[in-house]
Amino acid sequence: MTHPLEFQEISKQYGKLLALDRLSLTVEPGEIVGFVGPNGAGKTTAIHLAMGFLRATSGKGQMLGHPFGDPASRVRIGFLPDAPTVFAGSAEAAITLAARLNNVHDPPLRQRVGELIATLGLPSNGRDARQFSRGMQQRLGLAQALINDPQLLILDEPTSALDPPAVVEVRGILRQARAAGKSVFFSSHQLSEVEQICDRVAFLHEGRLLRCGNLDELMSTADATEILIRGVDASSAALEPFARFAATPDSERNLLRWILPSALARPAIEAAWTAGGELVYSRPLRKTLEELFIEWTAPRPASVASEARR
Amino acid sequence: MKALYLVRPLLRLNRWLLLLLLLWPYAMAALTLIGEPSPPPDAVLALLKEECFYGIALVAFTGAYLLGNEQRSRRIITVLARGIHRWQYLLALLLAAWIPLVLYLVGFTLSGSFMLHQARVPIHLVFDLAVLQLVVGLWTGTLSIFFSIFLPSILASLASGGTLAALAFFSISAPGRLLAATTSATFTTAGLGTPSDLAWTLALSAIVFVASCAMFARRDLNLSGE
Repeated sequence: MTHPLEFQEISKQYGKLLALDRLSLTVEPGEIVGFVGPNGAGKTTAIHLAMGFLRATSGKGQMLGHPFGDPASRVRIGFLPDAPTVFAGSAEAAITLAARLNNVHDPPLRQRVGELIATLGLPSNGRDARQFSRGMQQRLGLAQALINDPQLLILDEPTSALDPPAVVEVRGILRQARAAGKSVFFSSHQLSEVEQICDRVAFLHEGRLLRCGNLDELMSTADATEILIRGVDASSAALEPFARFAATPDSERNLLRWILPSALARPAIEAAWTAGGELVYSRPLRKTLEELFIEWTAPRPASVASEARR
Repeated sequence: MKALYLVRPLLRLNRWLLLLLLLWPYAMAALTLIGEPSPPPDAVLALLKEECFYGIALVAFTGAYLLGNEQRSRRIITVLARGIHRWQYLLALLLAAWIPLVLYLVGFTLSGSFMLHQARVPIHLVFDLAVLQLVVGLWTGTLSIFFSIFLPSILASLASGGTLAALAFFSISAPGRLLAATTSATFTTAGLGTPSDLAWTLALSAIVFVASCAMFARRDLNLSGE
């Protein structure tokens, strides 16, 4: 089965700098994959390799069944660069040019341009698109990416310059695309954004893929459980072994919250029952993407690093 | 066809400079004729040769700068992210460098014919010079685009200018002989440039263009900030 997007052990080296190190990653049909990592992690390099702007030092990849860089695949792809730039002319002219280069012609072209201008709130008064604000240029770039009704959307920081209402609109567009069976691969620094719409997340750091997986799996990787107990006396002897895990006791409502290692969850619940308490909930503690991002990309202490090398 | 879609916005980028250049032959003719309604033939010939130089320089300069400009502005990404081959993109750049010359030559031919008529000499020379410029302009465009693939714009324009000057000075190869014919043209010259030189120049332009496409297809885009 061909994946809409597939990186196969692909590397890119600039002189002595290894910008991307044997990246292997696939995007499945109908899923949204977020591509996150700190500045200089290699996200844009990977995207540019896929689009054929750069040639891989080693490895290969394919998009919609064609090798990277093949215009036959780009016809069915919607691409939004990190900083969209346009020629002189109106928004309509910019979208029309993108459409024609992707073999979209009248009669559907005119109708589709009008729809996108309306949907994305672009000016239709013929104003020169180069004079648009950064956010408006981003919307225009998105319109150019969507004009050919693409099978795969590759978006480099699609919401970086947008105001909150526009971010919500873009989120809606991406969800619609997924519902229509299309795939979306996008890089972002806005982790809350990624958390809200992505099915899978790939973390890139210093050119290497650190983690890639289902959001739920990644975010519950923390080995901790949160437990809320009602109707229990926190000073009860049965609960003494778990006292150090207690967080924010609410004596008024007689609630006790613990955050403890998952291995201790069962004995803690049993102790609470013994003490006459009632379990309100027990759930694996989820870390936010921000927390995971910082944890995974933090420089490791020298001792840990040397241990790892051994 | 896709290359043609791109030519219009590329031409529009430098529209004021282009407009100035397109008006240049008319302005020069007007200045010449205002001073002397029946100018000496030699003065007209010198002016026409000068205008030929400007035409070729226009193509060399535009061809050398277009690719670098598009890469610096990152507009090239907006274009190459669509279903277009890199050779089609280079063809668009070549046309965007050459079409201004065609428009320039309209003014050159009209104003030149009028000046030669006023100087009471046969006007066929201006048509010969225009044909020569069209062909040499195409060669110049391909050469400057070729250099711009691997050299910064300023060096690419110097390299193409230097190559053209060397070819013309030593009358080497068909394009060199055509350039030399432009500078040495007189009213008594019967036709400028042999058909074989014209054909060879076109063939060489095609070869350089194909080589440019092959080279460009294998290279990373040189994007600022990459």
